[in-house]
Amino acid sequence: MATEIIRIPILQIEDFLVASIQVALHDRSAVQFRDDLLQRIYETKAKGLIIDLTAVDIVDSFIGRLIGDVAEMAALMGSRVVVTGLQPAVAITLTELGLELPGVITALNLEKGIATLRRLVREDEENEGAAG
Amino acid sequence: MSQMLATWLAFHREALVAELAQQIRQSIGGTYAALSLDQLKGRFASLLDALQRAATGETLEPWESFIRSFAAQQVAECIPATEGLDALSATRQLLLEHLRRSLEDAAQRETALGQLEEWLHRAHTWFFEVYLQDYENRLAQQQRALAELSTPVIQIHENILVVPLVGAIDTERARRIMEELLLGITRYQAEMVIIDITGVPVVDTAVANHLLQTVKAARLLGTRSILVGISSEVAQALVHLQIDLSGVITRSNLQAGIEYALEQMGLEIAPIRREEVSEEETAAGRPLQRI
Repeated sequence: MATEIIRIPILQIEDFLVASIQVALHDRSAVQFRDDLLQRIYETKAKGLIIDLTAVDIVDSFIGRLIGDVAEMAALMGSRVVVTGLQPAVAITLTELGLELPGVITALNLEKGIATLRRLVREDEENEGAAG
Repeated sequence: MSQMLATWLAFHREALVAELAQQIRQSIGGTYAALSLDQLKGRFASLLDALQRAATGETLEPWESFIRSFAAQQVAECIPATEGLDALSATRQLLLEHLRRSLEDAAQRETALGQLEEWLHRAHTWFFEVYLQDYENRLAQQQRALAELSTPVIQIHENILVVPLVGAIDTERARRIMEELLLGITRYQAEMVIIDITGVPVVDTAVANHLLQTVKAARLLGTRSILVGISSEVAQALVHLQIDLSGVITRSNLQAGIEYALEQMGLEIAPIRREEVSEEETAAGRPLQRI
């Protein structure tokens, strides 16, 4: 395979990580992206992660499943995942493929995504506080 | 193409036009009867002139373009296709009859008749094509209009959309509803969508499935959907068909849906308390208050 692996930059804002996918990912780049994300969550102990797909026009079944997997894995590591900015066409494709990402929380845009993430993290902390 | 025919047409022009106009007025009637005799004469005189030009010239092109514009004019005047075709037939019959009578030479007559016959035959085809094209255009236009009307996406409040669905839903329409709804969500950045199916007479497995898919796709964008207006018949049908709507928020009617959506946004519809509200707020007239 001569295709070059594309690395998606992952930015940290306070307790959250933000990764915005701007290019069409092929499978190996996607796997690299997943590994990078989990590594960064491990390093930074981020409480939340936003995957922004505003600029993505096409999502195939592999990427769709991978996003679902990342959410589950991140949850195991104590980090909530919010997917933002899905395009209508992408949403239609995913539902047609039967990939409804049931465990993934979604938001319309980055701003609402951060608000959602803050709310989730606060709720988690409250629950923990109540339990403890 | 046929100088002889051209000369003949030129020579008999006035008589032919007069007779033709008279005949069309009497035998076809309809919309043509409403035109004055002079108008009819003018119209069919130009038809004969075009025929004459075609006979003089090298190609049939002027004849074709004349017939096409003639047909377009008829379309614009809402003259039915049958009347226009009848008028062309009358022209053909009259010309052939006159030509047959006026030409002595048998061989010459046959050539001229054959040629005229062919030209007028083609005229029918062109004429019909123009009508058909117009009909198709109108049909497409109406279909577009219908498609646009079938899925209104209405913003009733910041972040809340309402999609009232009326009439039967088939696969094609369901697909369009999904597209329009998702586009509406991204356009308005709406967090809640109320899908009102009061006007949908029958909900079968296919329709329910389409609705579920739409709800799921909307969720992927980050929007919650509320399904409202499920009638008792539809509720019975859904249960009998064992369609699982447990993942979808449902409310009995649009009002309940709106109230729920507002509540989720931390809003409620409340009467304006005039004595307590300051003047600027009353002027703004906002009955929606944050709880």
